[in-house]
Amino acid sequence: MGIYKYDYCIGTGNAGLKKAVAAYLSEAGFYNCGEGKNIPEFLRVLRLNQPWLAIIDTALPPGNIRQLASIIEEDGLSAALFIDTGITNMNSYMLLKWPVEAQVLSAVAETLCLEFARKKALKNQIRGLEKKLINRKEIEKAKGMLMQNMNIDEDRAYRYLQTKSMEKRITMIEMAREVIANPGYFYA
Amino acid sequence: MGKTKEDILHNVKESGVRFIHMQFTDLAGQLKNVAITRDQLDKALDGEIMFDGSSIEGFVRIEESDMYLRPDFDTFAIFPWHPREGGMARLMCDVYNPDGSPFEGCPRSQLKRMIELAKKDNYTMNCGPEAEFFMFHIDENGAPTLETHDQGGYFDLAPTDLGESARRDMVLSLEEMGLEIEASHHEVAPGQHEIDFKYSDALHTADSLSTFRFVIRTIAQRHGLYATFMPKPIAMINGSGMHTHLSLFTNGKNIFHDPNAPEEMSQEMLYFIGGLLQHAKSYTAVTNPLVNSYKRLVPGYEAPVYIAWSYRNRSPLVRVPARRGIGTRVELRSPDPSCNPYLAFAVMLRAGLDGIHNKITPPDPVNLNIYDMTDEEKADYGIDRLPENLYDAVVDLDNSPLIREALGEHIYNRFREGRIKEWLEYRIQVHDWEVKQYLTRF
Repeated sequence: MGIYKYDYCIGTGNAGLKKAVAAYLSEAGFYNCGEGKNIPEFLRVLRLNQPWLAIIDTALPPGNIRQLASIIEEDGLSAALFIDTGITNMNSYMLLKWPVEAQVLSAVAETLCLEFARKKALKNQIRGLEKKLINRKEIEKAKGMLMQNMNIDEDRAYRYLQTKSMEKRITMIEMAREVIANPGYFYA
Repeated sequence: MGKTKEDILHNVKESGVRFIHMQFTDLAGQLKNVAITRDQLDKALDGEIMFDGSSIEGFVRIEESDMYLRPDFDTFAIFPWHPREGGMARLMCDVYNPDGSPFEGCPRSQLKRMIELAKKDNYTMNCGPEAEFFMFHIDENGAPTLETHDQGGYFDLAPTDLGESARRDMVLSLEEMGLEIEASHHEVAPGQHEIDFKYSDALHTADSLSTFRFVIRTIAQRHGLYATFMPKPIAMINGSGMHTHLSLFTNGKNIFHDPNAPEEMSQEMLYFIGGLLQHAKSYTAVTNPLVNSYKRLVPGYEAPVYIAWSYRNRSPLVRVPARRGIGTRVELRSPDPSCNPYLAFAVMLRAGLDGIHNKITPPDPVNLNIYDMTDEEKADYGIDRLPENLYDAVVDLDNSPLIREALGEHIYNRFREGRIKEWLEYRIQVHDWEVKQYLTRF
């Protein structure tokens, strides 16, 4: 047995399916860290264990698999692979018709996990950029207020913020927020 | 604050919102909404969205059913959980009659009337509610159970606590919607949680509370859980209350604080407490509107039963927290989260104002545990008790012209009708307890 690379939770009430998936994926370095026999239970298991991958039987009761799919995607819970044991249309979500070859299952599972990691990294990057953008806006606003009210140029307003933030041992953005909140105090 | 129609139209376009929920509450405080598409927003912002008022419990009869929704622009907020299929946003609305007058059965408009009344004396009431709720499991059929998420050893080895994680998402979602959350923590009973709001003016807080209950339920469901604001879901375990912190401000200054008075409590604050105590029996039907509410107001579970006030002791109806200065406030401990927040704040404000107008001096504070007192001792202190059931509470409401006026005649009549109907339905049921007690004995 090699080292496990990924963990997964499975949502199914079908013992045969669970066993087969475990056998196929174990070979490919996947470890089963939880299971749910219905959607609410499966959601609880996913939130608790935070696995790389969710493998979901589309026959999971009480139904509304697509809503489950959108919750997993919107909340970024894990990668999701749907296994179709009946007839279901999952639109743009990854769906494999059961039975499926072991190699196909493990290849798709691994690709989804890598894709999930990339998406997560991108999301974090976007969040970081958004934060920077908001910070930049606030710093610009504080700078503008200082320029207008102290009658100084942009460079000096920036230096002023920088010096004050160093004096107070706070970040530039915290300093900018102080200026915006209490302008009168700084113009004096 | 001070959003314009253009701000909202711009915001909706920028953020990809496709549906807007025009929200209002019925008399029971249930959030209702008319969902419109982005194309209808312009018309909706002009207050031209019409709905059938006769389909809302306690509103109007069929022959006078056309109602209009006028949104409060400042309440525009985008729901954080619908990013892909086109976002959803909400606007809280006042309900208007076709002739353009505010509908007398609209709880939000009624609270506004009480706020206007307070404004005549230059008072603004701030409210800070602490809403408690339970989270239970959902079963395989999607139905709620009474099984809590943190009971037993099932989750012992899990890296995260399910309730904590759901609550964190709830707080984040509420904050994304612009609600200010002061604190959130696990409560006394298994599966019970509390989320505290930063205090704000009564109308803003009531809007927040209406949205809050909806957000909590939605997020819980996304975690495979069911959130309930039922006041006492399980007997012999603490129920869910909504302790409400109240203070009066004039020109941005908390008038409850007087640094030179005993305990730094102003005369107005004492009179306000006097009003809250004097009218307590009469407004309880509003702050505790369910049959089940009265299963919470029993001794032994930190819920108030007796009409008294105190500094530290948590058994009386009104407590004065130690904080002074701008945070000087009274804590009314009886309300529960099943109430209609607009009506609840309206009656609290009216009762407190009456205390000030009529200089109602409260009795001395009771800093002893009232539950340990004998009946004689309680009589010596002049301590009365809250109504013991919904019926008694409605009778007490009937006997109070002041609280009826705070509700307005229309709301009072419909509210009363609804509460009595619920009581009568409950009264003819045979409960499990009765069957267990009597079936084999008699």
